[in-house]
Amino acid sequence: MSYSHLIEYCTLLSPIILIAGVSIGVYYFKKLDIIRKILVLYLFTMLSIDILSRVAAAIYNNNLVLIPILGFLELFIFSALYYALAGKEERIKKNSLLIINFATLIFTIWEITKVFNAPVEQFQSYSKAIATLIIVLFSITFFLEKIRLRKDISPALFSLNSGILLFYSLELIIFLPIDFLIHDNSGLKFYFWLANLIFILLFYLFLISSIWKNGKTQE
Amino acid sequence: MEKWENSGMIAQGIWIILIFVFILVFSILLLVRENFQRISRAKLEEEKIQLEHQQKLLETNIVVQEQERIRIAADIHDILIGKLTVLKIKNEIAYDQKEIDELVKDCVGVARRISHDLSLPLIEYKDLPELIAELVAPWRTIFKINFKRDIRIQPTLSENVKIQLTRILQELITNMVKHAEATTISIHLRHTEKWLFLRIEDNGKGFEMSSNSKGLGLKNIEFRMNYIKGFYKLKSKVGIGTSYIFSLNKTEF
Repeated sequence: MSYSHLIEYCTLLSPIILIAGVSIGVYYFKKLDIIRKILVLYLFTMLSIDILSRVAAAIYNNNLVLIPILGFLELFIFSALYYALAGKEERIKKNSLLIINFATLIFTIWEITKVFNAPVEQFQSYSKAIATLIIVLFSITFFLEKIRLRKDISPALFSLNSGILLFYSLELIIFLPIDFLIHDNSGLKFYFWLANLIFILLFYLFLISSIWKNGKTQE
Repeated sequence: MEKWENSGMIAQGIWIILIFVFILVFSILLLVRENFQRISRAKLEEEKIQLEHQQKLLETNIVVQEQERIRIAADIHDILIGKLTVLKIKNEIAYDQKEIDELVKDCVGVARRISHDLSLPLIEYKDLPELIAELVAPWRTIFKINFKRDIRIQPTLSENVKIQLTRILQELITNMVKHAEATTISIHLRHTEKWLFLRIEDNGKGFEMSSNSKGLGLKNIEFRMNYIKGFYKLKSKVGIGTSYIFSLNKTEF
């Protein structure tokens, strides 16, 4: 079994964990707070993208078009999450979030048309990296605003935002040189995809544990 | 192809950046956590100080109530009972209608003063300027009192606010008599649509503001202002005098 095949099998862990996460989320859904409900929506969206990418790969032998869409959906969901988290006096306001989401949507649509019309060898996408960067900025702003207003946050919320910041900072570094990760022929790219897979799986498990703890506490 | 453009070099670069970012973000998170812990500790400390302060005010209030009872008991015992005893003896040994009338009048006067001290008379029918004028009237023999009023609206103060402000003024005048050695007192009452201000100044000997310990009187004033959700500020300079400003927002009228 080659290294790339091993990674391919490992990727099956992703939908398995996501199905488990969505099931836990649905089971506790009514008892969850708004933040965890958004996280359930995030897991469900990731599961849909995961399934879609496998279908697209099987039918068209190319699922790269889903990368900018994934970036936009992630940004949209985390905008909702940070909007729900922001207090009345905090700077992240509805209008700025709407503008950011709208601008990214336009850029994503433009990139999708570009990806559709270009051959796989020329694939280059920045929208996923931009979306990831904005999520990182949301996360940092959230901390800075709380510190500026001298507001206390719960340990659960602190660890959730820390997890988001850490995961998306690493994602940003991985998705910036995405053309290298797609076009490299030396086989080194598989180490990065494996690292990315481990980050993603750990992040999903972290979110699921957050949902599960919240559901248990509200029970 | 340049050396840096080969896959190995690029992969190495990405790994280094990944590790660097991981360490950087992790360190930032530790710093942020430390900051939140500090905020949390500071808030706890603030709450503790606030609680201790409230506790002290409450204790002061109890002490002041007790002192007030002792004073009223002393007034009844030393003045009223004294006069009534004299009246009884006079009545027994030498009946003099004129003298007895005079003594009864004195007793009624003392009883009225004690009653007024306990509860301000007709408070619901009188406005604050009237109550202040009545309160300061007996002191005009001791002090030169300037009472200025600037009432810009039809006064609609609650009974509670009127009682507390009058009691505060009473307390301050007592303080001035006991400690300040003042000769002049200025009272300025300003009542606008949004605010009520009461400024009281004396030309007494003043005191050192830096000394931390507040007397019972000041603590009691603070307790009363907290009770009506008002604000107060005091300024004092040794040898020049003391001034107090009390303010109340319209929401608390």
